[in-house]
Amino acid sequence: MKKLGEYIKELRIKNQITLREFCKRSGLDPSNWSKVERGINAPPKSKEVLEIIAKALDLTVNSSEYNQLFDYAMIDFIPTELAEDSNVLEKLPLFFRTARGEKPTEEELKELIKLIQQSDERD
Amino acid sequence: MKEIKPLRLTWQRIRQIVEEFREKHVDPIDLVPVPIHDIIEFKLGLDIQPIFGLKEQIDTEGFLQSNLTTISVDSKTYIDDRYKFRLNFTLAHEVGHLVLHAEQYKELKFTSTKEFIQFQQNIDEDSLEWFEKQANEFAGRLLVPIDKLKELVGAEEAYCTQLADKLAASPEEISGREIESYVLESLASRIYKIFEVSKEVVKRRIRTENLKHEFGFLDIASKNGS
Repeated sequence: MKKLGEYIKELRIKNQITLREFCKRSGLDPSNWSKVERGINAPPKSKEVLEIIAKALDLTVNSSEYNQLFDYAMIDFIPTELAEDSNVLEKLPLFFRTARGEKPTEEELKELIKLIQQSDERD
Repeated sequence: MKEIKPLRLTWQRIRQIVEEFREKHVDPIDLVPVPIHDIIEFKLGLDIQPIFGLKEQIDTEGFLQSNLTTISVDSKTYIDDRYKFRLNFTLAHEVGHLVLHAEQYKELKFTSTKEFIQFQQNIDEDSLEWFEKQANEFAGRLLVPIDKLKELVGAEEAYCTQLADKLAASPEEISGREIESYVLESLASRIYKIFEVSKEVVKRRIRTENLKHEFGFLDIASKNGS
């Protein structure tokens, strides 16, 4: 069974709405929303937010996709299990520079690893 | 110790690669601004993963993950319209790494975070510089197509000439080089929004394409003395 976040991403891509555009339209935070689409954070269940999402996805009220969205929201959320270390390793950058044009310091690299780990943790 | 060998790509080759990429992914081919978000998510099928604190804590705006399926970006920069043009370049730069350097990514897999830190600390500055310049060149050429750039620059001839004449006639002594630089700055200001990149990117494109040879009205320093 598909998760709500996964379903919304599917509709978003199908309707050619970029993640940025979706977040702009809905007012949802992009880093948190990315976690929802990846099944890490629980998706919203409230009718109000789901309606905002439906609108951001250009869904017509009472269309099959609109109704499906609300049906998925009824399913209990089970977060995706993530393998800790292997997951971080494949997310690390190869070419990496700071905006100031220098190589990052050791502290910055450690911080980067931490931020990548946090981006995979449930809030 | 893991190492990465510098990849020597000529500017000419990068230009070809960009145009092949444009042919495949930009429709219509002469479309500007180049819809880099659409290309990433709908054509290349990559994910964008905004990460909180990337810019503030690590002074970086984005990177291509080693899995080659996801581009991470700073979440604030990603959503804030003030950085929209800058973000376009960051994204195109990371696509540049994907298109030009996928082999390097595939060859170099980290087995621990310690190894990653060691690699980043020991990577040869010159090699890194090359890889970064190549990705920058890819991004610049993709987002600011040469034909459109020439068309817009050509249309600004009267404006640039008038501005240069006005500056040359001013009572303050301004050197030809200074006038040229001022005109370039003003020219970039008038056209950068069309490409949805920063003014700096347009200035760099005009310089690297050596447009002052084709558009004599931009070649002010040699006429008015430097």
